[in-house]
Amino acid sequence: MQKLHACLILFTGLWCSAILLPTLISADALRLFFAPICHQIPQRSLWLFGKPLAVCARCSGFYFGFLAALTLNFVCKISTRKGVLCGALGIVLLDALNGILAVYPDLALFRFGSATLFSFAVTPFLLQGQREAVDLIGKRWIQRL
Amino acid sequence: MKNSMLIPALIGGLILASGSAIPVLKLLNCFCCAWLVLGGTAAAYLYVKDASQKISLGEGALLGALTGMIGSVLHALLSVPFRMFMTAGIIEQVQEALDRPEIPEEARDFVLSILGSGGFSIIGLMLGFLFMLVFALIFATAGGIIGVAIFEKRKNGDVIVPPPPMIPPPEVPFA
Repeated sequence: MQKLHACLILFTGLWCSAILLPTLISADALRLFFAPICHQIPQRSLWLFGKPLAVCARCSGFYFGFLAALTLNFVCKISTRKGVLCGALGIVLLDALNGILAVYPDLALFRFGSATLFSFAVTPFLLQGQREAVDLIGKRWIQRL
Repeated sequence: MKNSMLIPALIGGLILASGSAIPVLKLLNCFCCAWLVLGGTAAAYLYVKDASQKISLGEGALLGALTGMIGSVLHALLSVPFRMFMTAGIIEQVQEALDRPEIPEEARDFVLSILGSGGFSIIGLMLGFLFMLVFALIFATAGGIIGVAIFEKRKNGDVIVPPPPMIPPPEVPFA
């Protein structure tokens, strides 16, 4: 199971590298790859070396937060907490709603922060789900054999 | 006994596909693939609601993956009429762009030959399906797990016993 976790970290690391790469070199194909899943508006994105990342600040928060939470879970196991998940989901939805209502300043930092918080809350659930799914598939294979 | 995953996955897949294929609605996918996650979450909600036992996060993951697969097939089918409708406008835009003097002659001929052969839509459809399949598998699986995590309120060992069937009272003979 640790190997699967390591593979997941590797895959997410590659995914995050693909988000960072267009700021270092001219990689329009990577921006095109992320276009169907993110609006990529430069004003709503984080910038590095004078260029925007391949996805917006909120998406960056989800992916980089997921990578950080995966790595943290690899070192020390964090338990699943439904209350924390619901709270983090509420904060992300409120922050998304603020983009329309503009109750407080709509800063990229808030979007990145709320998404990172959600990623930290959801990652233990995703890892447990992945472990249980692998077990279930294994059991069904054994039953068939 | 646990119910089949097929019906919730079909409904979730339909939500995922219709949201991602309809022109204005599909803009919601720019909010971190919201339709893909919502499809998986909706399937998980339906599955948890009808189940008599506690549903595990692993089952949510498998349900989400199934929803993603069904959704990407339905999306490919649903997007055909929209693509056919939109393609005429896109061809006009491409031809206008190709008329610019800085476009090399060979590139113009190549693009026009693809547009003329009708390969544009088929290649686009195939690529669209593959992209959708990859993204839907990732995000709908996450949606399935999140849905089970939020909507499953039973503890381990809790079983909902269905009510006994109604038996009509015996007929009393007329005295």
